Amino acid sequence: MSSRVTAKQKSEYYYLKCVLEQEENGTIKYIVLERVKLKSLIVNALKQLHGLVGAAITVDVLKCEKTSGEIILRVKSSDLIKLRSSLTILNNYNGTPCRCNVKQVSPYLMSLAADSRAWSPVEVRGKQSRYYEQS
Amino acid sequence: MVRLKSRYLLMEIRFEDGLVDQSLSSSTVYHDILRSVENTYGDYGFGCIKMSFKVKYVNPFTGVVFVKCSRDYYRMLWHAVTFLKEVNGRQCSMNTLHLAGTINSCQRFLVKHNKKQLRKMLAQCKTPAEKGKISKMLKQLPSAKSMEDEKKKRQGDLALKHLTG
Repeated sequence: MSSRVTAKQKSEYYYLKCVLEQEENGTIKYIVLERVKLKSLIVNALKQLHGLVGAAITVDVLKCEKTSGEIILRVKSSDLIKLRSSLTILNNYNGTPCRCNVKQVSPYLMSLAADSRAWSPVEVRGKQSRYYEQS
Repeated sequence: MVRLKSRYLLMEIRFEDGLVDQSLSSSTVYHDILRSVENTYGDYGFGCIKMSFKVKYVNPFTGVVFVKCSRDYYRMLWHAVTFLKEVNGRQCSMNTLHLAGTINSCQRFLVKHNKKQLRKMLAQCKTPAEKGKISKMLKQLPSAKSMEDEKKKRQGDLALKHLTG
């Protein structure tokens, strides 16, 4: 028999998957940063929009993927709105314009593992389209 | 029609050296408080507060300030004011004495507060000249009975207003 698991309480943390992007010669490139630099960038963005109160928010950088530029952040659920808004407002890195693209937000870390929006019909297997295979 | 609700804060500026600043004006207080709001709550807080923030009255001799603020964000203002360190380029601290919905009730509180302060000062007086001056001031103030009457009259007026719409 299958069992259903229900989380009754509000989850303590929220997880965000985001990408720092920068435009160079008309193409969008990922910015890959060290953890410390990334954290300082985020704290500065928080301080700009929410002042000292915002700078006091604890944001954990869980992961910095070097290949895809994906960043996974963890934040207390009460501070999610502040972090999300300052990531939206973030527009500058070292004097060059950049943006933070928040791809997924979830109270469960596991749900960041699969992203239905990133799913593509072209399967890697045999480099052929799944639809192509079926027809 | 939607009414814009606001709160009034009665605050007191105390300079570090215990002196008064005669050049204190409402615009300097306004800018210093706003800067403190921007520091503690950033651009967001600045925008929220600036919508309806007003310095209504400043008394440079007693350091009393009346401040008007939108009801939704008065807590932000209150917090920011506690972090204020400098007004007019001098070290000071700001103390919130009273929070009210109307400026009138703030003023009533101030009268009561000043009365208390005068009594305290009377107890601390050293020379008879000082004592005479303060007791003269205390006599000029409205008596407790007249204030009580006024309160009753005001409450009656409010009740009447409520009944008649």
